[in-house]
Amino acid sequence: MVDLLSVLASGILVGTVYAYMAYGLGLIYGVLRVVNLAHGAFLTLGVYVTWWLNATFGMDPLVSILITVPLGFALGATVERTLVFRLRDSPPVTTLLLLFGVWLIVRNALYLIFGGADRSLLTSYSLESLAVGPLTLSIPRLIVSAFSLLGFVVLALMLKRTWSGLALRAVAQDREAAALSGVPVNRVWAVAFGIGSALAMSAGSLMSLFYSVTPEFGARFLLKSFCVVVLGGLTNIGGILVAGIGLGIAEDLTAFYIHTGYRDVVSFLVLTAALVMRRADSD
Amino acid sequence: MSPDSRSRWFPVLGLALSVGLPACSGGDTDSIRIGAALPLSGKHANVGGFFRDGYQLAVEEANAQGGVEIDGVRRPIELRIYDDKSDASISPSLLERLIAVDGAVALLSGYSTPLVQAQVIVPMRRGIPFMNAGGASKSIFREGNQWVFGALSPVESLASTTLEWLMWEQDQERLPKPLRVAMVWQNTDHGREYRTGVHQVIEGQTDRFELVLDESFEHLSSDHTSLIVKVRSVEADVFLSDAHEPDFLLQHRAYVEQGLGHVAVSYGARGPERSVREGLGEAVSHLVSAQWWTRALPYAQSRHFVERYEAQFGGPVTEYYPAVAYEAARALIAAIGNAGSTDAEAIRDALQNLELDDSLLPGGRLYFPEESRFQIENRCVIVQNQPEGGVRIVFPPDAAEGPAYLGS
Repeated sequence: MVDLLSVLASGILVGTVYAYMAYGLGLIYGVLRVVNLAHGAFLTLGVYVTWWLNATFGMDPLVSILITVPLGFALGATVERTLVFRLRDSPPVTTLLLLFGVWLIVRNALYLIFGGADRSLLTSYSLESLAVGPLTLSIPRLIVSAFSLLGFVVLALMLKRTWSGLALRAVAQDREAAALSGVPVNRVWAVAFGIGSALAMSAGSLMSLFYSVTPEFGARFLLKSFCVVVLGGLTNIGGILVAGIGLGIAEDLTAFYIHTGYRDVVSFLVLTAALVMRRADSD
Repeated sequence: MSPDSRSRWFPVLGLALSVGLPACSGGDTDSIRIGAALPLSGKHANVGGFFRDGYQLAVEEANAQGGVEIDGVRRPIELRIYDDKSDASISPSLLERLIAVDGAVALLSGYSTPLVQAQVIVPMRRGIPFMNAGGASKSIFREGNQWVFGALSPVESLASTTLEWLMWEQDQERLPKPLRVAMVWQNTDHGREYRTGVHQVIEGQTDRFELVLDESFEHLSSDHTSLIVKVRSVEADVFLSDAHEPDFLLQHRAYVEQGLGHVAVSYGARGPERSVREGLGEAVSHLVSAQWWTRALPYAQSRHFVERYEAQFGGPVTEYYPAVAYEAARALIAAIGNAGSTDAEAIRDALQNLELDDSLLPGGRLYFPEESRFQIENRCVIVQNQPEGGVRIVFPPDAAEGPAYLGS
């Protein structure tokens, strides 16, 4: 029983990490209808900025979020204004390739600057855990889960209670109708890309608490982010949170009760099933 | 010539220059060229730099002694290195270039099993001696191999030496019999061969070992907690894992977070690296690892290498890479000298018959047995991370610096 509870707890904690790294991808797709293949680049930039701040100034990764969030917003909005915006009426595959190119540039730039070695950061709480009854919960993972839930609440409130959120939802629903109603669609696109990128970079900051940092970091998690977004609903932030937790639990139960080697298979089976079911629904 | 026809010739001219210039630059026409395609950028850049340094040091030493004697004339060795950017798709073409354009008479390997697996096709097809210091997998040494020589013992020896150490501790009555062993391994060639090494020993030692967990995990897994919970549930005495660095860091983090403890914990060759200490701090104290080389080996030639390397490149040499690279290059140069010729078959035959009795690798002797397809089969050395940094050799007994700390 203790083992089952440990595995469930681990699944929930891992799942909230999945959700956090996928929020930005869902938001950008929802508003711009763009599959952001540069999402991996922003995740990777987040871990590198955090690692560098820690290695150079001893800055705690949690404090570094104060830097990665505005930096991510600025970089994301710039990418949208200078690149994505110019291709807004092109076929989707053009934007897809463009953003893939952005990711390759970032990845190779990181190789040039930092090399390919695995790097890690260590804080006073990196290896701490909390005993809750018979369970042992990792403090860094609890922190990331708390941020993931906080991110969900802030994002949901912003989308429902603010004018910017209203504008984002209006553009997501019908771009032309929103424009006719006076919503500055171009600015909303830049804001959406900026928020999505800021979320990705802050997710990277938090994930540096337990994952090692390499230029391939984004590749490791991009597909998982897609799984969560497809499963949760491409534009549904709440669905993404539930899907992330569901996927985390499914992976950990499979790893524990069937075989650890099948852990990643679960994600891709779920992704395939979700795509097939969506297709069947739309037919 | 019209502008159009001129522009057509520019790419051809550019290609000719790019191929021709390196071959013409800086070389001594009397020198003997050897070459390597190393990952000097990309994901293995860090290790590639160690290999370059090790190779260079061996070549400089040989040249300081006058080079090698060919047909009665001493000739210097010239090392030519290209950067394969850690990309297995371009590495073989760089080796082709070393042979066809630069006139390399023998090749040294790059680093990492996948890259070396891609490289070995070239020397085997072209009939050129190839000295491998960067891939331990047996899959590199194919049936009928005549040209590829390995200065790195098989991955299996990491596992078998670790179990030999445990048996030695049992014989000293410091560990019980049988020991319950939990083993997890990365689902790659490296991990599968580690598993084979464990099985080969355990199956003949059923009174000493009981394998209570034998499970693979995927490379770059996003979480290892459920695997560690599984390890906890089998109540083993010893935990063995074979993992590359990113998985090792995540797995041992989960191990510590879940509060596990075993009499011995080993992650194959992982443990002494500086990056590991930076990522996990004191949590890696007392980890046991099998190494292809360590600076603490009590051989005069090993100490000589450490002194020379650190004087030339600075910083303590904490990893095995430059030492194995140095030894591989040294063996190749010795074979060229023994062959007394730059003929590929003569160098190959000299490598097949080579015996270095002053090797800095564990055991102190280096030769390439035909029965293992010319891959050395030296035992590894077992080291244990010490609190506050550093490692101590705990096995084999003739090199041990003291007893191992065994957990409870």
